[in-house]
Amino acid sequence: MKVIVKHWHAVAQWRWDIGTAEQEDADTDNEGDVCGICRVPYEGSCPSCKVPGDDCPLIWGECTHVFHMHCLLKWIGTAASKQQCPMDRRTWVTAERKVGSTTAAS
Amino acid sequence: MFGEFEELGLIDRYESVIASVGYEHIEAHVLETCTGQWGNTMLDVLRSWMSDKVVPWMLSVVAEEARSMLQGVGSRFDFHINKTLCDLRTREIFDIIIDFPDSMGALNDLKDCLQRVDQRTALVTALRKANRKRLLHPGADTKLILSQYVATIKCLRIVDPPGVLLFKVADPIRRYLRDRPDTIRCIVANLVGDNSDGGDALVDENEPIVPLQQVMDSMDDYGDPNWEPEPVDAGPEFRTNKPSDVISTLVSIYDSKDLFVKELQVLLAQRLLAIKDGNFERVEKERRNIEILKIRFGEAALQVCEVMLKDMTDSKRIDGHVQSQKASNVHPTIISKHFWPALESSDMVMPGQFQELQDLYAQEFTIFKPDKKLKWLPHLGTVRLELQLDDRTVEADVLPLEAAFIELFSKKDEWTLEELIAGVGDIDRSAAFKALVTWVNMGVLKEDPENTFVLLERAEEDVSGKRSPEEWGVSAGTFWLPIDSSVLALIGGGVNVGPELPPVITAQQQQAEQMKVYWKVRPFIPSQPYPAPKLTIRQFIEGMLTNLGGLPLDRIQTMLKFAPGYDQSIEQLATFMEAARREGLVVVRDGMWRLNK
Repeated sequence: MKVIVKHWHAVAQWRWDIGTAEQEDADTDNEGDVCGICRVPYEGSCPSCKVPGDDCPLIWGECTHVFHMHCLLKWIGTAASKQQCPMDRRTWVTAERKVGSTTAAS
Repeated sequence: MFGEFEELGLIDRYESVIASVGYEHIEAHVLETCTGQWGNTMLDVLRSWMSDKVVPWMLSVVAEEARSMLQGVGSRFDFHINKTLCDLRTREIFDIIIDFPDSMGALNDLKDCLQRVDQRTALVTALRKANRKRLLHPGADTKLILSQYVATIKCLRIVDPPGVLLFKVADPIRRYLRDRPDTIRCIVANLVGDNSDGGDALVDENEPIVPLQQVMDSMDDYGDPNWEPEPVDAGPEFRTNKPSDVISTLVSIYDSKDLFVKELQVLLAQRLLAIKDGNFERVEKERRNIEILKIRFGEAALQVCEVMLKDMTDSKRIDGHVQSQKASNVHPTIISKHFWPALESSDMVMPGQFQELQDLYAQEFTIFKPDKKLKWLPHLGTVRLELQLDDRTVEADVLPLEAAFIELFSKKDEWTLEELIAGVGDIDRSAAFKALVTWVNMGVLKEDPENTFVLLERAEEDVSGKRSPEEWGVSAGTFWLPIDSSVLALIGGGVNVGPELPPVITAQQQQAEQMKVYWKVRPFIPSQPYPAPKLTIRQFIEGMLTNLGGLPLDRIQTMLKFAPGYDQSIEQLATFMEAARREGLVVVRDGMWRLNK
């Protein structure tokens, strides 16, 4: 017997590619990580946005910390931040995303 | 003869007898002509009947000189007509309401009668009793109760515009509806125009759509020049129901409209996921629905639904792009996890070519959106398959689980149930069985011997191996697997959730789930230096109630605020406590919560 798929109406969820080691764990326990600033899941939207996804993207730091872009920019914009990552107090450097590298590695 | 009586002075003496004959005649006539006649107002007919028939008869009885006193008798008879009719209509009120709007006449009669006769209490008592006996019992469909409630509202507004009667009658109905698990579902299904089961819409199409009025904060407006005192028979709890629209009234059965929004979300999710590709008009229809509901519930409350609709549009766009890069037969709906109601999770793994298709599509997606990945929900959706067998081809629209099983059969012709389950990951045995039965019924598989399934490369004439769906206890055709029986019980009551709707956890379940998390999982660690045993919030509440006896809700809330990580609002706490009450953990009396001992 041969099974031919004519049409498959599937359902999927999208996830941000956080690119961390816990990624696999996060997949299994299906509890996504939260943004360290607003405590809203990455796949949610930051407090000032209403729509998640491309309209409320993430920002990746060299220090491997990830935040909602809007949250981080707001933080960096305040004088108290001294341009530091709120998690480890190192100067914030936005990481260059190597497209596909994390997926290939994982 | 009467003349002689008069001369003998007997008339005065027997006047009461004559009058009672008149009363009885009236009663008999009213009962005869008016019973069950609700279409037209009968009062005028009865009055003219009295002036044509009864009054001349009285005239023949009463001598000329006594004419003057007839005035009194006449108005007494008129009162009697009113009273008899009123009694009759009070007895019939339940059926009159059922017949609404064909019973307008009777209602107008009743309104006129009630102005002359003080029977309001009797009417309330009768209607409450009839409701209790005929409506508010487990045998009645929630939908039915709702429509009867709506009819009651409309009827009693005619009879008694200030709404005192309505308030008194509605209270038990509302309380009863509040206890029914599927009330919200019914109302919401009606809101979105889900009348596929042929029921009447509760809402008139032509009723203007207005924002929900929150009945609770309707404080008396002391500056209102048209203010009128509350009717005399209004109880202390009476709140003037400003003539609000039906939906507002229904929604106000519950204290918060959040419940409705949540249920709406669940319903929308079911409907959106059930949409087959290429049928974009239905998405547009849902969008229009949501726009209308936004007027009622407010923009902010339906933000989540907005995201769900956007996901639908985005999925289509993404699919369009991916297909242009690399054609695929997979057309997924890609959803934003936190904006959809909790979908049943599944540990199912699609075997063989399905896995490949998924991986290919996911790769293509990641190329299109470099920062995102796809996580498949393999148990949702539908697959159209073509099976090429030795002597025939079978084309079928099936569920993913069914597709997964038949894919396994393309490798090997004979599988045991256990092997099959192992082949698709961890799934429920009964669900697996149901999926296999679908193929058995299509004549593709055969169960032989028990729990072993064989592929029929050649169709078998002998259908004895094919059990009828009834025998399996399975409804014919497709069957939705992961809905558990409690959900079925919840949705069974009147709302049509057809087999085409995917399994979405209902709001009630979600709530219970939330409560569990909150009561049992989230640890409460008292700030003590030594390694303290982990206390749950539940134990915290328990301890609180044990130490302090009964507590009102706001006290519990205030005390819980001291617990670290406690961020629930008092409304949420109320929901949790209510759920705990249902589980028999606590009892509430006069607003005081106690442990159930």
